[in-house]
Amino acid sequence: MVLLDPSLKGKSRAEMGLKEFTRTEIRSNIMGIPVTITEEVIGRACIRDVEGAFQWNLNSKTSTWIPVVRDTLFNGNKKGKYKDMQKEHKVLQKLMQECFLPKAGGVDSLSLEHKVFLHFLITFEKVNLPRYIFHHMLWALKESQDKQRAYIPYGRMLSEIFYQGRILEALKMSKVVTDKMLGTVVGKYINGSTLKNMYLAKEVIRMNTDLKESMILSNLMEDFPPISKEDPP
Amino acid sequence: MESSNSNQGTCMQIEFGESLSIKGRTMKLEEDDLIVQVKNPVDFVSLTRHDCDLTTYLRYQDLLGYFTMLDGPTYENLAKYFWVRAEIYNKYAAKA
Repeated sequence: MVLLDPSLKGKSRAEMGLKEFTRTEIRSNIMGIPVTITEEVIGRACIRDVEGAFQWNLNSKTSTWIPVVRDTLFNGNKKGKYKDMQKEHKVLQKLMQECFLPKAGGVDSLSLEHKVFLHFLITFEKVNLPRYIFHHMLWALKESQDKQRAYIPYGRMLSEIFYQGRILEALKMSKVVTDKMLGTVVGKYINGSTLKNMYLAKEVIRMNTDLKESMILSNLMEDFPPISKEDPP
Repeated sequence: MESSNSNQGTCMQIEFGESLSIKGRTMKLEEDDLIVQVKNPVDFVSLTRHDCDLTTYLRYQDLLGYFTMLDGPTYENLAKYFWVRAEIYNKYAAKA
């Protein structure tokens, strides 16, 4: 529109006579049953309101966030290396990479967006996790579509959305679906052993109350414990 | 870029289940090519025992429910089925 009529530049959609831009959705289906994902759907799966701080598309060279995260994460150290971080911050960083905004690689390759997210966690500023997750999901989907990036983030979150959307119930009705067909797997716990692997704990103190992967049950086939991904039978 | 047959997948189904309507695929990747991120649940009690209590941070963020959610199964095949057919939709796309 703006290309056709430059005078519309900078005007809102309503001013241009268009419907208000309301929201972005990811639409797909599972065996014909429609599934739509929005920030709100993610918020419901997270049991969390869609509100809080959100910073995306930052300029990694000029952003005013650069000195801020340097102070919070790396004690003001200009180079900002992993070793400058406090123990708890290192583990929060691990959680961010595994559970919030999945990415490969270490701290030294974190994007500014990741660092700002971590800054929010550490400084007790509420983050808009559903919005972060949705944006990350959109990005990953575009990467799969345009660049054949063979990676689906938030497998657990998607599964919860399918469950809440009664997809599993519908499939169960057809009585031909098993965990094997669904590809049911569970992740490995982040626990004391993780800390030892990160050189943040000398000894692993195990107790009977430790959570174990085999205790996670499928929403569908509660009689069959799922298979741990790291631990094939 | 090589020309690819983007309709290749439209008549494919997972080997189980009846399909009501099969929507076309939105990417060249096949289900088998994809890796699903299986999120790791967190044992906060074990972490705290190792002198690393993160619950203060996460309770403030209102995220303890999120971690309860993570403590569940992932259906990889459903995620793959969903992903290869997923479309990004917004009002701009609706106008086009």
